[in-house]
Amino acid sequence: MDAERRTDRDLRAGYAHWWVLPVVVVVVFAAAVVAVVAALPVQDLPLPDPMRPLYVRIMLAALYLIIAIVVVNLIRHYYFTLNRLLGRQRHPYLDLDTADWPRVTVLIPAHNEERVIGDILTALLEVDYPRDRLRIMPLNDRSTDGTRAIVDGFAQAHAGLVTPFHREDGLAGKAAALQDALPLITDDIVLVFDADYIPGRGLIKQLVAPFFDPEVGAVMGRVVPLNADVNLLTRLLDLERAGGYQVDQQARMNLRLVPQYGGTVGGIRRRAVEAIGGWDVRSLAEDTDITMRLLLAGWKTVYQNRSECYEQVPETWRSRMRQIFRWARGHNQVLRKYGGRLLFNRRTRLAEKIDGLLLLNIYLMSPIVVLGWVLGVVLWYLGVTKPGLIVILAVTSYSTLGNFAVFFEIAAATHLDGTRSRVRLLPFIMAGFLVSLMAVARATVTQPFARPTRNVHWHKTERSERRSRWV
Amino acid sequence: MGVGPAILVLLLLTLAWTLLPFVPGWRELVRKSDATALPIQRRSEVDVRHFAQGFRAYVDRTLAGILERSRRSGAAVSGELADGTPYLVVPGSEAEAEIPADERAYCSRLIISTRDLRLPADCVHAAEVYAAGDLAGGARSVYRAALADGALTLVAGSASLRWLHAGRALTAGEGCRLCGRASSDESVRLAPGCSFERLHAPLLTFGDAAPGPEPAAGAPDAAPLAEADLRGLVDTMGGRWLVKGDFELPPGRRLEHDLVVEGAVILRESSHLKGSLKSRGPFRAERGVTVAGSVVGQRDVVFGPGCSVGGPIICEQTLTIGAGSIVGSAAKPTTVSALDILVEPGARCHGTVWAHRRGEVLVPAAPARERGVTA
Repeated sequence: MDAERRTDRDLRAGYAHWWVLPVVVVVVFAAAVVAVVAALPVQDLPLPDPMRPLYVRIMLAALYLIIAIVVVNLIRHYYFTLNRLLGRQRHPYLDLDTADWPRVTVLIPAHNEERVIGDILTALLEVDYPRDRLRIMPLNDRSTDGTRAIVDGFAQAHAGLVTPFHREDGLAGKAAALQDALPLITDDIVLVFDADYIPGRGLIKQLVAPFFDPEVGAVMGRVVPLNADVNLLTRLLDLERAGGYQVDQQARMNLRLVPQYGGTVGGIRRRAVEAIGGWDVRSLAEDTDITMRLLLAGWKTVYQNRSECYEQVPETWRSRMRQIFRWARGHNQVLRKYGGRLLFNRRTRLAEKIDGLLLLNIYLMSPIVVLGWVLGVVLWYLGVTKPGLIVILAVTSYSTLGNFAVFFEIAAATHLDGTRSRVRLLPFIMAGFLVSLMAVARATVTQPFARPTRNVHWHKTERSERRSRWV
Repeated sequence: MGVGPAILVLLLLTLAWTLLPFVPGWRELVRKSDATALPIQRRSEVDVRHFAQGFRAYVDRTLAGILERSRRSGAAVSGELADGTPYLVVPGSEAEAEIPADERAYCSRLIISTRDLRLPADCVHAAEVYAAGDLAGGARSVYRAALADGALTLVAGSASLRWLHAGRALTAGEGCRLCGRASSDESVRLAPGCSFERLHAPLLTFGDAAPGPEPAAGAPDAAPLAEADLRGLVDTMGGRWLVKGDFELPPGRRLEHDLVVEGAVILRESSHLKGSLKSRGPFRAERGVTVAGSVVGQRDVVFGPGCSVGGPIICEQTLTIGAGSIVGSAAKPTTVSALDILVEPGARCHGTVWAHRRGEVLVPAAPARERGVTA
């Protein structure tokens, strides 16, 4: 399906009362459960048994809590998917084609990116943004390859438009580089692209448009894997990205919850970021960190599903595990720092608090699911069969690796994208989940023992040979 | 069958059942029938003139020779293009183009004129219409799409289905329905009772009244509102003022900051906002209000008469623009976007006006607040 037809499907009106059907389903299901429990003989009711040893009762309570957490996440994902399929879609800033466009700086953090930096600079020079309002700033952080020479070549050919910042010292890492570049920027809108991205002609305007809304502190576009056809891993990541952006992020935008700024193919309002203290240079997930701090300060992050850009996804399981490990540590770090503050923040609505906390908890789900499995099996072999219904529910509710709703989300995303055969790979997502499970569980369990490092290193996807630059 | 073999059979069946869902996936993995990267929008197609420009390129590419022949001969030429599209090239004059009576109810020919073009009334043009000069439509006609290098005039009761574009003024008479896009390189004027979706021109005027003078800017000498004057002010971080609850800007007063309001907003008569505003609740601006920046509303947005907005205006529900109000300017055209847009006669905009569901130029007798959006 071509891009325009896919977009038409994305922009259809939707139904105002889409939520009626899922509410009816939930009510009918709950009524059925109540009816079944009511029909049980008294001795089979799942009531607390004071004769059980304390450790068994603790394990049961923990299992019930885990079930509740899984069910909450399950409802959340189903809610998002049904909203995306049936509800009214919000794209309030999409129509902005005529405006007194503000000045914007496009930052391209780069560390040893000689293979790709030329492509993104070429693409940015072809955008339809007014030239006198645009500045392109490659952020070369101590590259040891040919990155500097390439960047300087572009700067010489396009003086005034391309103004590089060659960083020679300071903390390593993308967040530190961005933080150092911030004082050099006078424009209020700063867009950030990783070096291996290729923006389309209209992308800059699309990403700038939301900043006409004074409430917007950050904007995020959609990343689409360019190297999806390489192997099983890239195909699975293509599906996961589709679910995450086409359904999850857009649903959060529709419902006025907390879309997440992803650190690339997006932008920030400089005044807002300065007001909250800039980028956290020690954060492993500076994008999640910025999203939360902006939210706490009353700034919103918006998501633009049509602002699409190609990216390279990891092609090896090893690099994928490293990526997940870093994301998990980063999310947990942000949860620890801001989870409590989010609960009591007066600038956020209750729905935003709940969604924000669920967003930050996402990488805790894996160890929780594993713990739930262990508890379920142990309790079963301890002969705790009286609340058998609960145990069975526990096993089945996360027998699909904790969250069948995610599969539904990904399938819905492929439907909205107009793709057909790639949805057949959905069962293989379990393989991806198993890998993620190990990486996330390891990251979470070892995090309390990890020593803070002095330097946060540059983390980036390994650059493979460039596929076709434009599809 | 013994227990052992039975268990083995059960295990094998379970394994087969477990592996069954992977079979289609395995085939897709091997065949890669749907493995290419998703196509993404690389060109910006938000431009409202996109289809008109595409059609012009088609005319230049496909019809140039035919147009030249007709121009030289001075006679009408009809036939079929290579793709089977029937066409009628008229030499163009003061007289109406001659379309056979039996085709007027549904004319599937591409109608093209090398000069000015006048079309008969009560025609349904199922294919594009193009005039190298001015194009004057007939009353109560329907156009799939029309392009004029000169002026384009739709008489009362006409309708367009996809797009219209004029090199000079585009004028729509009373009760015209403009579905899709309508654009001009010079100006678009819609009479009362017209409905529209997406408009673009350096100047858009609504109603019969000639555009009035620029509304007076808010009193620059009036004392700016201070932080202490704002009830519900939560913070002023990053240069924007965040207000919990409702907000009212008193008459004649001015505010020199960006404003985000969680509740409803009322800007009283002749007040002035120097920055931009976001309202999560309903927004209302009384007579003579000026807003230098943008206005973004999650609920209904209403501008009274004689207001001035620098733009853009983004409204997620119904936007009403009062008589004599101006949005944007000739030097700084902007965008107005809402689910529904109601415009009182005498208002004007510069740039793009986009109603996602329905736009309407109100008839002067019924004030805006008494009307709903007609389906």
